[in-house]
Amino acid sequence: MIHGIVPPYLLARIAELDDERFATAAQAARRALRFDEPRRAARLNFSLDASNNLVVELTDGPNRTIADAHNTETLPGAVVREEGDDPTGDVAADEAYDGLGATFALFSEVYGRNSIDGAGLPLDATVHYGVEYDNAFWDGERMVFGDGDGEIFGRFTASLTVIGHELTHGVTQYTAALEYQGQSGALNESVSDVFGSLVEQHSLGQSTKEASWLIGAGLFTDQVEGSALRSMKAPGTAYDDDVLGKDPQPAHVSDYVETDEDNGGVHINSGIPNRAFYLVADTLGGNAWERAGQIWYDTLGLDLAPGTTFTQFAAATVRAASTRYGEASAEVDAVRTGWSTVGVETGDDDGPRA
Amino acid sequence: MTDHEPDHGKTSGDYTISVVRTGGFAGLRREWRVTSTDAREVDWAGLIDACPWNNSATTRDGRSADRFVWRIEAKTGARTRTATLGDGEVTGAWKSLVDAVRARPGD
Repeated sequence: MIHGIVPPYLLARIAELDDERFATAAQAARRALRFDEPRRAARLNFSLDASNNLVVELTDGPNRTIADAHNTETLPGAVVREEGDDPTGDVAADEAYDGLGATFALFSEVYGRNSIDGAGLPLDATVHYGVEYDNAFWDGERMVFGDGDGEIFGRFTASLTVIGHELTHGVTQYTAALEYQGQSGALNESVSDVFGSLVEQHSLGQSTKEASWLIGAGLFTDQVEGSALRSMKAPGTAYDDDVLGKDPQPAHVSDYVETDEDNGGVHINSGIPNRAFYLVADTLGGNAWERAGQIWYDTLGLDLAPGTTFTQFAAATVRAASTRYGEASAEVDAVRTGWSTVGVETGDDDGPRA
Repeated sequence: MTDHEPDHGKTSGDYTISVVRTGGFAGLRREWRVTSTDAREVDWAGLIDACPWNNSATTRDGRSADRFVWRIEAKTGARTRTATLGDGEVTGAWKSLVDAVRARPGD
């Protein structure tokens, strides 16, 4: 089978083919263009069936654009690679391109979601943002990656979990829209860690047992005592360094950190729902993106209120699991046990609707 | 933060300035601090007075995520001024002050 990512201009060319040998391809391309939003890309899969007939399958495809800020803080920067272009040779730009593709693949192939908004939204990213910039962020429209300072952090595109994390902020923005403050903010962060990790696991074909469950592995330089920024499996153990201190993430709601900093500790308290997800995946086994990931993805579509609490989100995951797998199912039991282990109740209250 | 008018109270005497950066993808807390005895060659009073302290309530756009959050504090005698800023708001006079504090030796 040949896999090709087809940009709109090429779809148009295929659609115009007047050759019986490519009649199916031309028809598929015309269908894609007829229903397409502007700039949408599609993927055509070519194969031969048992009778040696050409089979053309049309599926969603990403539409990626990578820009280079050339170490300024001006967005978006100069475009260096668009969908279908050859690699640039710039490591950060090519990692961003590939990482966006891997993230698109998880959401499209596993959950049937076409990009961030479910309708083929182009995936835009900027690399080389700022000078020695120690961060990656989602600005509401694009993913932005710094190069790191070279002493504590290297480039932020080095970990696929980071790219998946940032793109998932976009998915959350278009679905649950969890307010970026306090518990709902920690849930917003956790959802990004969950799917950031799942992007990596799906890309590498790792089972729940094989996965590292680390977020941001490989970002620290050799000078830092730490394996990653966060551990979903064991929050609070990712690093312990004389300059940075110890990973402050709690693994149980009894250790929830009340703080005014970091929008109410959204990057700290995300350890609690992160571990709940890991526990669900560990109990169910197999590939985490299948049942555990499906339950979390379904939960995002349940009209959650912007200020959803841990308890409300936990109840919503139970509801999502019940809807898909049945109330008396191993999946529902795993979800209830996962949340209970981190001290979050999963009663019937899943909060007001948005 | 939309108003960048400078505060009209002039800074004089000894001072301590701290810059605390939290948030970001990493969620790491970093702090930089400078006192009046550290660097007399820098016009700290000028840097402080140029900042719009009275209009420093941070304004989130509600859509971004993983941005840094900055808390800046300047103590001058009995007077303490503080500001909490989003990453995109650390521009102009704020950026000059933050960069000067972060540039101190040993930080």
